[in-house]
Amino acid sequence: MKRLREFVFSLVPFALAAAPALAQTGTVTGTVQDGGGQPLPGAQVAVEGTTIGVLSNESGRYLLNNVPVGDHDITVVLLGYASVTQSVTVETGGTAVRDFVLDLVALSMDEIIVTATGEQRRREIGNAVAKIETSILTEVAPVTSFQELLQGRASGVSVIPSDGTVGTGARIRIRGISSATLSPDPLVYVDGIRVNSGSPALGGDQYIGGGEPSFFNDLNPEEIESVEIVKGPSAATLYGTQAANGVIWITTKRGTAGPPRWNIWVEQGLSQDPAEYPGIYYSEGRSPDGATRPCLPMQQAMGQCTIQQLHTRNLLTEPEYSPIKNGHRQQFGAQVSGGNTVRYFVSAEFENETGVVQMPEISREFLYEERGTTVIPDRQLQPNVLTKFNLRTNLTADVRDNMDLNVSVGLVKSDVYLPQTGDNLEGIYGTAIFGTANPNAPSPFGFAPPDQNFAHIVWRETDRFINSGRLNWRPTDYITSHATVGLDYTGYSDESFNAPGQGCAICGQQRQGIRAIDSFTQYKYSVDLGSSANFDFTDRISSRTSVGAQYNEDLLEGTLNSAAVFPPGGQSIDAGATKNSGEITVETKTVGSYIEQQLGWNDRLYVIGAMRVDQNSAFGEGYEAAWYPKASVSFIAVDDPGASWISSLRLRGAFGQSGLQPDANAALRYLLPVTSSILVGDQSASQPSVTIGGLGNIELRPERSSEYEVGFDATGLDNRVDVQFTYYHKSTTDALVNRELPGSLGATQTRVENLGEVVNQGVEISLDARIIESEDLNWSVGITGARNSNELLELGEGVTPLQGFGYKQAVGFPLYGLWWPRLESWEDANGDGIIVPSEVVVSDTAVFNGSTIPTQNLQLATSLSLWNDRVVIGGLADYQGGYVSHNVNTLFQCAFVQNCRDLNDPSAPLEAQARAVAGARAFGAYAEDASFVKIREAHIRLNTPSTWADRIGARTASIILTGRNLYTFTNFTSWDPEVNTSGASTDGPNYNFVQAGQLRTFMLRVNLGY
Amino acid sequence: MIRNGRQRHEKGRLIAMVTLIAALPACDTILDVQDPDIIEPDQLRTLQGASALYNGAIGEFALAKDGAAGGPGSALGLVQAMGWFSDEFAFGGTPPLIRAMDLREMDPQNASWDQMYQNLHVARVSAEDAASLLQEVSGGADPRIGELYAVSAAVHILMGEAYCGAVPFSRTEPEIEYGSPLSTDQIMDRAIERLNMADQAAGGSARIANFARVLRGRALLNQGNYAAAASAVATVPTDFLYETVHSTNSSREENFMYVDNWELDRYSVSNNEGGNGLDFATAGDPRVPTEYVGLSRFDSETPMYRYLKLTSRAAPVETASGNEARMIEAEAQLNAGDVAGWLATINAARGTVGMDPVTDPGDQDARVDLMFRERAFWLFNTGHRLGDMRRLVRQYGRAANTVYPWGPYHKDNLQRGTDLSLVIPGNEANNPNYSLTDCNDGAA
Repeated sequence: MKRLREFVFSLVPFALAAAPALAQTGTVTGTVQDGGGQPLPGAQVAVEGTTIGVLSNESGRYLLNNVPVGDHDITVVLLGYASVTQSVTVETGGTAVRDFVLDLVALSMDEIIVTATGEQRRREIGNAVAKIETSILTEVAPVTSFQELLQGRASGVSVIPSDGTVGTGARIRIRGISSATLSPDPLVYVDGIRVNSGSPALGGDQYIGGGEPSFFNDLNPEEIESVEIVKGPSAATLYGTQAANGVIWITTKRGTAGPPRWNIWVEQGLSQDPAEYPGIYYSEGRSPDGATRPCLPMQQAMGQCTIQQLHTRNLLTEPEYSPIKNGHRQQFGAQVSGGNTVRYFVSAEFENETGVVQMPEISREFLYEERGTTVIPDRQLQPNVLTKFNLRTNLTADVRDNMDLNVSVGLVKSDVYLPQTGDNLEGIYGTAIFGTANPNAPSPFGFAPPDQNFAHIVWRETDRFINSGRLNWRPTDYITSHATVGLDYTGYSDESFNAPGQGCAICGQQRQGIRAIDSFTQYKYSVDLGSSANFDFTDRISSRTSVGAQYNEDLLEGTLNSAAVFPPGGQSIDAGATKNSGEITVETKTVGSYIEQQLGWNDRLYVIGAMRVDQNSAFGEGYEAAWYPKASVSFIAVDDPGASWISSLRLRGAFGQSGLQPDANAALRYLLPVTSSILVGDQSASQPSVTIGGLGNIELRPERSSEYEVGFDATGLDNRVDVQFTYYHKSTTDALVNRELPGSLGATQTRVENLGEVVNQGVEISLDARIIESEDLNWSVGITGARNSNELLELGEGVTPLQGFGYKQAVGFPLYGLWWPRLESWEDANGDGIIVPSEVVVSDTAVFNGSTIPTQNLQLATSLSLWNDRVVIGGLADYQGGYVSHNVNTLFQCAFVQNCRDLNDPSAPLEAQARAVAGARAFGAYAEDASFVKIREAHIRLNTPSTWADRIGARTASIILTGRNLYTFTNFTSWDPEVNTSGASTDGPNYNFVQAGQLRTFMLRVNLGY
Repeated sequence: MIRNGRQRHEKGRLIAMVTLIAALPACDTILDVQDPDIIEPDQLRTLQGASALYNGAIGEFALAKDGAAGGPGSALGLVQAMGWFSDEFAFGGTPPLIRAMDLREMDPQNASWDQMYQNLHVARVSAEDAASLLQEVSGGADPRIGELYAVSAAVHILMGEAYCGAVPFSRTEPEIEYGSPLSTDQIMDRAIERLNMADQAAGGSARIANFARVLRGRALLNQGNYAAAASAVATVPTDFLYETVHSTNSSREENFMYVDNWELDRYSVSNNEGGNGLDFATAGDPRVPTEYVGLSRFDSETPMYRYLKLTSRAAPVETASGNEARMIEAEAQLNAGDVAGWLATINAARGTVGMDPVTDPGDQDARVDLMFRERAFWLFNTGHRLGDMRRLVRQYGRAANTVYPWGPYHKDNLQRGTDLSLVIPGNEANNPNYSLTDCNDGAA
């Protein structure tokens, strides 16, 4: 700690030296409009070389107070428009007027980007930063979740959904996976504070077979102004430890000066399951003694039986048996914004969505009889429901001329009920496709039938407050300082209930009644202090020096309670004959600081050097602090807005480091308290005892990622085309690895050690083209693409590959790749059209089948605007490729239940037969290319004429029809290559097993502005 | 003057701001965290702490042997795994990585069995650590010390009988020391060393002394030292029983075999499994009471026989008994050529449960068959059968395909594998003194 303290104190005189004296002032005012004379609200108007700036209001007007007397450049910046600078002379007490007209452009060098040190212009920073103007996106086409908002919007950012169950989340991976052990989730900030974006799995009695809600989706897209994605350590260094996977910076909407402006919306939607589910087959035959038996073609070929008849059916499409119906979605919301000295933004929204799973008719009829009543609880009939309420109040107050205070208060209350699917004896899809087509079977369903598995109700209740305050202070023209404090409080409760006498008969004590309540509170405290001093050494050379310090604390506290074996009518934990309880506490703290020096030359060349130092409660005792350096260069090679061929060209490069902290107790040697059954006298009694918890590692230090990236941004062809290209290379050393210990040590299975090295490299490209621009017709196309390759380079000498169900972390291969024995070859040797086991060859050991994370992606977005934006039509196509998905649906049908077509139908293609025959020994036979193109979005927006809006007293009115996940093109042979049964919380194991695919949704929305 | 005053205030605030920036990371105590979920080893250096370690070690042994439904280290237990691997249990579920045990086709890279193997070593290390601490804080007067060494010996014997004859035994205290692979004989020697310590520390407890005697007899039997084995158990009363006990107080204490047999349908009592298997399910033998309940509700094809001695999640599981002592004596008599004594011993035992006496089948092979059948039914579901099958091959010269379940599997169109013992999991390759090729699971 001593070195850390010395470093930080050394910054003090440095920052103070930059403090100049205050001066006499005047005022600058004017308007900001587009080329058609329409006012542009929200434009950033700033006095160059100072910290003075404001946003234009709803009328496009701005007012800059306290501008020092003298000559100044005023610059106006607004996303989507080319920035404009005008000179002005300010006199003491005088008011100068400057009006601005902005032209459309997708990529502006002067666009403001939020960085760890504060706001900077894009031209100053040497990294690629993706900025998504969410307020515009949601205005054009509403989305069903925050993660959906990010899908296909930024190159190098993969949003990987787990399944189509309403309320479940997705994994977000930026530039691949870098850690063999730790979470690859990016850091997420909302209004300057770290927030909870995890997807804790539901376990124990709340297990649902895979898929879990993500706290990311607590955020309401309607409340978000913009999202910036900092993609890796080269840009995220100053965010400190935990930023190695990138940073997602979310800025919520703020009030704009003026009278109250209301926006009200109503949305109704319909969801469908577009999957084409496989049928189930039963080949009935006779054994040599004449007895009826199942008789597969290959068994007949081997002389074991004679086929009599092939039966087939599909329980997921038969109306009486199918649990799949249409879902419904609705949303109601209102926002108001306005104010003057104190500006406000208030938003409220209610959302309700039901999934496509409902209790089948046949099961209802069965239960009416079994229970002697026609009253079945709603959540048994309809087990997948999301209800969410969001409320946000953001206030911005001009405390003084040089000081403003932003207070953000967000509330989320959500309840999500989740059905049983996936890897689960109670799985709703599994019970249907693993059933039997044997007409003589007592029930066609496999495992637990729907009348049982709909009885198990599981839900998560979440109450969340995201509160932050940010004080911006400009003590001089040259210095800006900020102090941000905040708390993200998440209280959530995972609960389940299964009434006695109901439910799954092969699921332990479930049918005797179970109740579980696991309650958690999670606190994320953030403190961020920073100060920047701007100083021009000469007319050509500028300087910006920033210092800052952050404190972050994460605390999770939980109590786990469950009970089983209930009397009839019993519902509470008190009623259970057996009870279990537990407690969990996880706390980590990080404190760090940084210094950054930026030098600019002639507004064309910017060089940045910085250093960050962190200390963390999870580091080992033998490790002092983590130091992360950073450097970047940005060079504006061409800056000629009037040029027709290339109007701007920026070359950029950056290097930086960041890290990931170990788990909270990974460095400690400790024991866990448990109870053990001991014979006391001649009776068994539970006694207090301990078991090994962790072996500890005092040398534990953070995993360190070093990244460099180079690229360019170019605008040309009369400012109609913007291109961004980036190559990155990210090397993770000291990778924290759950090193497998030899079992003979009699300790823990693994110990966290700094062992491995992982490399990620790839390219990202984006292209925006405004192909047609006119008053009546505008057509634009945007393309983003990325390619990533991931490889584990080292795992430590003598360390065997880490592995789990179907995955292995092996040197020379991607992390979390799919590893299974595979079908090597097959041949219909006797030409009888039937493949038997002796005609397939499988590998003896697990082999690499492919990456389970997409390594290539390409998105095409287009927007067609007609009649001065009266009608806007658009869409988004998403390609993900270069990866495999493990089709365990067909594997399980063929290898275990033996009810797949390929095993029962002699007319099945030979290759399919070979996979089916080999599957029992070679699971890799069902590792399939999962590449797909999905029509993610299509929308049409009608902006009604103002006369129409006037009739209902509104200022504006629009109607939007949006469709999502409309169609999937893929060679994957099961229903949706995007399904991952492991859910949103982990990258391994990765398998595709009896869960709903992405739902196709249609939403009709009416927006009214007052 | 007003402006100058404001300037001073601004500078003062700026200094305060930057000082705060500097002070925040400089505060050493700011990173202190508390975790009430964990216990530091030093907190246990009292008699009460040593008792917690003792309780923990006994619990680890039950967990490793019988499995647990939840909690730290929860996994299938060795008794169930050995039952699947031998002819005691048939797999009624679908997960293929677990099916591999019933198929006798184990891949060391199959991580499904890592935890079970580790739990056995944890039980061994916990028992010896607890014994050391109890010795230190009690001055060596606590009979639980003897029990803990006997538990360690039991783990050695179980591992020697179950795993291929190349099992390493390592430890982490006082520093990491990696073991080298030991043969079955060497493992039994280590077990006997610990039984010697158990004898010294039994403190007059007949229960612990008899536990150690039966274990000694079992270890010697594995070494083919029949007479010494019989001698070791001679004083053990027939009604002696040492069990691992369970409870529903926590999922970690529950008897997972009950859950798997009665609630999940993942294992059934077998019947003539693979041709060579015994008729456990249908013999109607009071020592292995069963009930047929239809096909497994899990895989819909395996006939399900419940084992009626597993009465609840709190049902105890036998570890050592007087009946085992009598069977050890009987086998010694048979090997000594005392057929009459052998028959008398067997029939005396059968009489204790009201069974009719058996007669001499006439030839030595048939006598051996009968001997091992008697052992199989007396010691059903206790983790003895696999060791016996290996002994039939190793000590009695039987061909493996006449002892183990062989040929077509009962489902999934598969053939059984040829493993004769459990394979050491792949993570043992992280032991620098061990190579996975040391393990020959095709040998008995």
